[in-house]
Amino acid sequence: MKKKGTLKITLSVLFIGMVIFAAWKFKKQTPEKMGLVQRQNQSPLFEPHDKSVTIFLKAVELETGRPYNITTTIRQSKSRFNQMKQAVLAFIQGPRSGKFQVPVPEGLSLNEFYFTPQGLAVVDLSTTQMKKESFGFFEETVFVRGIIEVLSRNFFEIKQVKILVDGQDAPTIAGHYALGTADVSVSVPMPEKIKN
Amino acid sequence: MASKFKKYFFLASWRLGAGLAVLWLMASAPAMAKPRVVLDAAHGGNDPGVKFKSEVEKDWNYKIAQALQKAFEGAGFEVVMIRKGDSVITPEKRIELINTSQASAVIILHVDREWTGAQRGPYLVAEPPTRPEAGDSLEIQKWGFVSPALYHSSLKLARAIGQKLGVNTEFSNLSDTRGLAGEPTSPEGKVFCLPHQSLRFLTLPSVVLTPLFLSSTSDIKKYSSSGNLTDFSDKVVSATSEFLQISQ
Repeated sequence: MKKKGTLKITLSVLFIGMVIFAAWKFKKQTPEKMGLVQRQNQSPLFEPHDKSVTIFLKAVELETGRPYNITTTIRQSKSRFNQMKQAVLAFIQGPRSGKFQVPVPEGLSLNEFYFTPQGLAVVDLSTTQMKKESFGFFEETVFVRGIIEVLSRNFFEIKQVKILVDGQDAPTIAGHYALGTADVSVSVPMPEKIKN
Repeated sequence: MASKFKKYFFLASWRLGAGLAVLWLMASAPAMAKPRVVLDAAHGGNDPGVKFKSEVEKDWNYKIAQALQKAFEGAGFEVVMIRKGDSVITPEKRIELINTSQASAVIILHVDREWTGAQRGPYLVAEPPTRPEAGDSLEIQKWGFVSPALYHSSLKLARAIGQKLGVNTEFSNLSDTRGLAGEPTSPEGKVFCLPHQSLRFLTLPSVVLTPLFLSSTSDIKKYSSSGNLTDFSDKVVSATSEFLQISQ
C-alpha cells in the first residue's frame, strides 16, 4: 500500500517536471514573443541555406492600371522578424518592369523596421531623396495599402501597422494619403499564414 | 385730442414698421435660402501638387473649380471659393475656412497622375469614420475625427456625384475596411473609402473629387474642351442638388 503511494508521488513529480521542461523549451524556440521592440539591423536577414517561402505582394497591372495581388519569394529565416523585414524590402524593391509593377516613388527607401510583442509593425521610410511631385493619391494609396497588406496578410502576428516618415509621425508620405495610428490600423479579417 | 392723436400715431408707426420689416424679410428671403457649397482647388502658389510633362495639378484644380463655380452660381447656389487665383493657403487655413463656412457640401478638387497612363478619372474619396478605439483626445487632435454620421453623409454625396458622372459607384478594392460595413469592393469601383489629408479634419459633408489623371491623354483631351467641362460641371451641380434635395 505504502509502495503504491510512493510510486504515485514519484510519477506526479516526474510529470510536473516534464511539463515545466516542455514549457521552457517552447519559450526558448519563440524569441519573437520575448523582449521589447525588435530591431536586428546588423545580422543578415537570412542564411544561404534557408528555404524559400512564397508571399503575397500588391502591385499594379501595367496595361489596365488596376491593383492586383502578385506573389514573390523570401527566405524562411528562423526569425519571423527577419521574414517581416524581408517582405517589406521585397515590396519596396518590388518589380519596376514587366506586366505587374509596384508603385514606389523614386528615392524612397526603408530606414528601419520594428516589431513589438503587442503585434505592432512599424515601417520607417526615408523620403529625403524622394520626388513628391511624381507621387499622386492613387500611387500613394497603392503604396500605403501595399505595405499594410504585405505585412498583415503574410504574418498572422501583425495586428497593426504604423508608418513613420524619416523617423517621425507624419501626416502623409507625399501629401495625400493620411497616415496616423488610427488610419493604418489593420482591421482586415485575421490574415492567413502563407503556406510553403 | 392729443392722446387720440398719440394713439393713432403709435398705431400708424407700428404698422409702417411691421410692413417694412415684412418687405425686408421678403426681399432678403431668396438670398438667405441660397444653398451654400465650398469649392477647394487643392495646392496653389509654391505648392504645385503633382506634375506630368507640362501639366501641373494646381492649374487644373483651379480651372475645374472655376467651371464648377460658374455652374453652381448659375443654378442658384452660393459658392465659397477657398483658393482665389494662384495663392498659397496653408492646410490649417483651408480647414478653418471650410469648417466655418456653414456650407451644406464641400467639394475638394485634386487631379491625379500615375505612371502606367492607364488610369482614368473621375473618382471620389470619402474619409472613413474614425475607429472607436482611436485613442484619446490628443490622438484625435493630431489625426482628426470623423463620426459615422458625417462619413455616411459624405459617402452619399460621393455616390450622388459618381452616379451623375456615370462611374462605377462601388467601393474600390483599395478602400480601407473602415466604413465598408460588409459591402463588396471591386477593382472597377471608383469610390474610395480612404483617409485623405484634405478631408480628415473637416466637419461638413465633404468629398475629394478627382476628375482626371494628368497622365491620361484622353482625360486631358476631354477636359480641355470647354463643352465637356461645362457638361461635367452641370452633372456635379445636379448631383449636389439631389444630395441636398433641392429641385432645380
